[in-house]
Amino acid sequence: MMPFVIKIIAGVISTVGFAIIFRLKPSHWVFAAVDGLVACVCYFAFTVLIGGVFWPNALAALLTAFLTEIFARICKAPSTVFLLPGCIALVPGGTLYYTMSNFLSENYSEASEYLLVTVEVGVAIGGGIILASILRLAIFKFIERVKLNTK
Amino acid sequence: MERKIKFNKTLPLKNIDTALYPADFILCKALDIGENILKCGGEPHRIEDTIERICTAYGAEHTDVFALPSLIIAGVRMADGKTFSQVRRVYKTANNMYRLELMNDISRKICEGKISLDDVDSEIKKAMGMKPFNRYLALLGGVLGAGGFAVFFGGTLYDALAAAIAGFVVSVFNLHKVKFGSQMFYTIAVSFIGALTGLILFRIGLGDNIDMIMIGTIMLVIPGLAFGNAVRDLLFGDTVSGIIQLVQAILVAVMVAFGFIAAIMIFGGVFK
Repeated sequence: MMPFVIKIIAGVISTVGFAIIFRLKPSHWVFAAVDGLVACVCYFAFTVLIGGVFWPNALAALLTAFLTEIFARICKAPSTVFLLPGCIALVPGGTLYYTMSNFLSENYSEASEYLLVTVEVGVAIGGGIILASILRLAIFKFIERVKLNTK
Repeated sequence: MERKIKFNKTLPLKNIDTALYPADFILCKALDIGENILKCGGEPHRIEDTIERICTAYGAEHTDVFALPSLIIAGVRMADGKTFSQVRRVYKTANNMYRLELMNDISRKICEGKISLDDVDSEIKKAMGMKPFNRYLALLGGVLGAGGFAVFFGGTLYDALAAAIAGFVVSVFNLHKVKFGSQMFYTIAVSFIGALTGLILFRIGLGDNIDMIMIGTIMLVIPGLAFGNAVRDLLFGDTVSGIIQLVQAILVAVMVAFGFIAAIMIFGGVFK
């Protein structure tokens, strides 16, 4: 349990770091940090619960992106503002590095395996984000419809 | 009884006499906003949406916008049947969420009629001059980002320290926009320098796992979510801009690998 907590704290710290790199307003750093926290917790939780690579990343990206849409509504800011730092912890930097280092030491089979994982994670994140935006449209349209009907 | 749901739709403005503005002027100002959003890292569909809203608010009957990561094409048809079109080429983009937010705010105010098109230039100029914080704070961002990811991927505190120093070096280069010729060559150079810093620190004796130091540094130079964004654009239907972003992301990743491999080659034998 303890290593996970340390990793999650590290993930949140680096999320804030990237919020600074992407030039977020200081008042938005908290939202970005919450987003990063959700991304890390979901990623580790789904890795333990489901296992594999695709689904933990896709579900974590989905939840993070959906939370991002809510924050965007609260702060009246574009959703990209929170999405970029929020999802950064899911970016497959580790596997990309192992792809490189294995290519360099001529372990081609391992290198191509890591490459495929890197691509898979990228597709999972993209898929999660798109699902979140579809979900947002559906839910907000539903709310709009309810409001119109109750008027 | 049919209730048509208008989701967040922009209507022509009532409080401003939109007939006073010539169509090419409206289009030019809308493109100014769009260009600035693209420059600070907005998605193509956001730009298309923004330009369409501004033109609609100022009385365009029909607007066609096509945005790519490096180009915006827009055409309007006004109520009197005249058509105009303009093209904008954008050369350099960087992620600046604060400016993106300000530009988004300006476009929203234009659509609500709070800012007239005459004031757009001064508003954009004002927004360009505003800074969210001292620019040297970006160095702290690099330190936190690289150090945090070294631990996140399973490193120790010493790894985090080494990665943080490498991240600091990378951020210094990013901050001062050191000119290395083309963007691709810049990526190679920055990743080379970041990897070299990490390797030197590891040789000196700081850090336990070279892998974790390098991964922490690599997170700063690979284009964050570019790959995920490209996939999202592809799935969203923006096929062309998705493919462009995909190719860009892959190219940058290859360049980063190139820079790292060059640094490792110099220090030879780290992996043997």
